[in-house]
Amino acid sequence: MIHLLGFVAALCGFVLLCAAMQRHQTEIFGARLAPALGRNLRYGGGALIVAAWLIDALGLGWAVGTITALGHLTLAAGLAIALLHWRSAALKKARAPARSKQA
Amino acid sequence: MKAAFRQSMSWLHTWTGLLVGWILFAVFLSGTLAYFNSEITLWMQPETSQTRSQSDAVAKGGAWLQQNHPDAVEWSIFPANERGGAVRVLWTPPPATPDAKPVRDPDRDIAWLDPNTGQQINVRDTMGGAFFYRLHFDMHYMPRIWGRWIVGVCAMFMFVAILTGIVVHRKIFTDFFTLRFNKGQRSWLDAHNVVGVLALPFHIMITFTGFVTLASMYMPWGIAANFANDDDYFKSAFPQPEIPDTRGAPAPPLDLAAALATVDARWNGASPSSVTVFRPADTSAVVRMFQTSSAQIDSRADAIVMNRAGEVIWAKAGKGAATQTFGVMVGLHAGRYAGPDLRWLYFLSGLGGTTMIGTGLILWTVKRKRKHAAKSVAHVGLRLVEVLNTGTIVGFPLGVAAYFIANRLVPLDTVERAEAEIGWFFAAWGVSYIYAALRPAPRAWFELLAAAAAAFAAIPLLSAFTTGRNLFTSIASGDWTRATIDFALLATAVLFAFAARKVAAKSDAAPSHPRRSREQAQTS
Repeated sequence: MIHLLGFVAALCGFVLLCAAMQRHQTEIFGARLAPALGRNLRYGGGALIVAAWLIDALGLGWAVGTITALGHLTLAAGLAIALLHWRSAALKKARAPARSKQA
Repeated sequence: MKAAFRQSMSWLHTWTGLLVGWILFAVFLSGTLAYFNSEITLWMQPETSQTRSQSDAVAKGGAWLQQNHPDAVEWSIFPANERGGAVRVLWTPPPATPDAKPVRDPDRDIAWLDPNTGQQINVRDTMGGAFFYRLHFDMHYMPRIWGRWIVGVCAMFMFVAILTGIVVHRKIFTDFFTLRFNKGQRSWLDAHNVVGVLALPFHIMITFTGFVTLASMYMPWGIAANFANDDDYFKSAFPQPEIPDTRGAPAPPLDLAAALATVDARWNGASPSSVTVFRPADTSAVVRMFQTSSAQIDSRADAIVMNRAGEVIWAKAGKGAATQTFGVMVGLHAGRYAGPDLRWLYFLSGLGGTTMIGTGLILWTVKRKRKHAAKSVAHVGLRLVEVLNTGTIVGFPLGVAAYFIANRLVPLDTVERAEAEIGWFFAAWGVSYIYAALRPAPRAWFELLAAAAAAFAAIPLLSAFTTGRNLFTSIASGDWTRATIDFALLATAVLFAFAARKVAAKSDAAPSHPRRSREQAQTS
């Protein structure tokens, strides 16, 4: 249960951090976000990463919890990259027919 | 100045990585598999059931020895942990004459027991997962000490490659989520960066602690300056339990219940991992137990010595700060303390490290192939690296598949059966190099990847035909360890099939005449 919570917090954290980066915003939303929103996403993402560590550390003890949190962060970042890839591929696909209709 | 520094780091990164990359790939992958050493051994010994309680397995071993070898002068019990299966029991029979020295026949005075029934079973002779564990730092077909020096030097190269890699990468945060597919060299670099960065804490930890495990061998001077010899050092740093030598009167063979109750109370329920009983049929019987290494991160297990009544006569005193630091570092590396969830994280991070090395090796060839293709001359160095890459990156996993297949196919009465299984591993791996050398590069990649996919897919099938166990019976009986391994083998097969398809699609799509395809591109 702790593992699931820690991992989900880390995953949400990385998704927010990714969405906070201007270079990925067009891939995710199709447009850039307002800088203020981007900043808030970054703070939120950072907070969730810290939360993931705290969840693991309080649930499993500081030593094992910290090691586990690093593992969760690695796995979560990997999955966040996969999600980004799927999202941008889906977005491209959705836009392709729209564009060809315009042409 | 700054650019020159980064450039020289880049040079160092490229060549330290390439020079030992193939050995590092093997070391990383075997180490990663070794995180599941007990599980692999359990799969490779289908004759046994899985240990439910390690302490109970010890009790079963004691009971069996009590009944079958009551007159032995020494008993040893090695239970598997809860991730593994069979219990190994050894005994030293009484000497023929009272004055003779008791001798143990290593082939005869040994038995394997089922951990739950306590009955003797005939397990097949295999090294199981321990083979990957040993291969990881001892190598094979050479003296251990050579293997350890080779791995140690490679670990140092690895460390240099990691640190220089961080300097060279530069855009760790900007490129954190960047992974572009189907862009040739760019994609390989992205993949190399992503797996490198994501598991960076693991890579640094595992390389450094790996070096620490054998630090006193690589850097013996501290010990040499402070102790007369190695024995004095070991006695001082890792005190061993003392076994009293005084003999008493004959008594009924010892029952382990009292000793097990004592350690259960003292170790907060942690189980013993290795148990030796000296003079079990004497009033002076002594029981020595080492604590299982899954009880704490520190790899140096606690030890305890008890008398017949289970009273403690020796216990390990507190550890010094240095030994404890050392023990924790080794423990962190080996991950024996890790529960199933954390074990999977270790395993996945290890796969990440293996992928980092593999993509780095491929990147080296992809970069240079473009340059050489312009000159259209064959390049010996490039060809050599390509062959070594194919033979290592696909050949090693192919060897793993051969090892699993051998476990099911090598006849059970084969002499030196365990070594025969290992022979299959190295044969398949070695043949991969020859095959890669004889075939043009893209074909060799495709054919070996396809062979690996077929081999991994065949293992669960072979297993079902040659043993009473298969994926469905495993699931039905709740044997999740064996079921998971069958699943993992099938997943590996799918992964290799996917890679083979990718390679095939790419080499089909690759223009055989670059110029013509460029013209086509322009006209369309």
